[in-house]
Amino acid sequence: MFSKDQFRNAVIEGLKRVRNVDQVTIRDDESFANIGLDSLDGMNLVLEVESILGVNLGEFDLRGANTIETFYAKAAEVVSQQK
Amino acid sequence: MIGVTDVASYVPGTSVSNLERAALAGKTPDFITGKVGFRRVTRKAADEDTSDLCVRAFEALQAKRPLQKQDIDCLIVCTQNPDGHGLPHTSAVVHAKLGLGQGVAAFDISLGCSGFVYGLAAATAFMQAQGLRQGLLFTADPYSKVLDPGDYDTELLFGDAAAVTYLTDTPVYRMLKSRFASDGRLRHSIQVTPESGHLSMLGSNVFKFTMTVVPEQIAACLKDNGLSQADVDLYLFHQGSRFIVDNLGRKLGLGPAQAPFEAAELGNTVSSTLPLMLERRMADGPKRILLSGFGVGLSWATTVLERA
Repeated sequence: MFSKDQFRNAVIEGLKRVRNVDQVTIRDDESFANIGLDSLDGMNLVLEVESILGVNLGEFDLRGANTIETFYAKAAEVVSQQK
Repeated sequence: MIGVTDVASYVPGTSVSNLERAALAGKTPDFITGKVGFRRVTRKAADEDTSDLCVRAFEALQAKRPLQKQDIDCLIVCTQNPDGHGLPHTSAVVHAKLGLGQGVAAFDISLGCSGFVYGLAAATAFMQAQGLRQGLLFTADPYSKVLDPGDYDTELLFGDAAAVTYLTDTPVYRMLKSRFASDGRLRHSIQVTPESGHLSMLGSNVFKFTMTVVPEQIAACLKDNGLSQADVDLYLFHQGSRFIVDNLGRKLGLGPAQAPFEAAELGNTVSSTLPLMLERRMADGPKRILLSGFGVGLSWATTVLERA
């Protein structure tokens, strides 16, 4: 299992990779769309976060989890159900 | 050795502009061109059935290379949107419409986006084993039959087209070792739901599967053939969307010239995307071309064609 800080760092790193930028600033409650992420970028973000954290979120859809906060809650629930 | 001697195709004259309906679909023009990739999607006429698309593709082949119909001894149609309810099989309908004789092995293959690679392997192996000499492998899967016009997640993606691949024992390209795979547990990711009769797709599942298992299969197929990535001149990937093709290319370290996206004016024509791209390379294509198809099933298949 990962902590919220680990998850936040993974999302920030994932956003950098997906957007191909060196720096990303986003609040935990700020929507990914607000920093220019579209629905397809969101699919890439999920894959990057899985890769960084070494987890498999299965059939995960970022819709309905469009902030770090909600993404973390949904991902943590998925991982806890896998155990 | 049976292999690919020629490819011809039929693309309906009618198409729908995705850019003109971008706002209606809640998308920006940049998203359409840069991510979806399909500026237009082709649509068959209301009175054209799947077998008619095949016949038109055959007419295009005849125009390039007049064939003696009595020499054709194998006819395969790859489709999941057959004429009527698929009974009789569409290959029988095509057989009749082409006026072929009785000495023809004719059958359908039910596969989607992996269908061309599977079909090519099945056709060449079957023909080789049975001593058949001239075969026609049709791919024709007009998704407009099952699209929900109000579902822009699918309506903006799929186009109608057909291709025919002419197989003989004097090929231009022969097929090297191939890899095939399936994961029926994820079959709900792309399906026609019985309730609606319309196509539904879980894009996130399809994308994840494409970015994970397909690169692994490509690497395994290259290894099986004793080839490095640099030994292959061109990588033709199923044209699911620009996003899929670009990301798959990026994952494998391939640029747009090595792994092109060529369906901007067509849409995703399912099992026809690969033969449509191969058709353009038959006259003077490179020595080795890798083909990888993936989608419905989920099913994925990869092969390498080598110039004979």
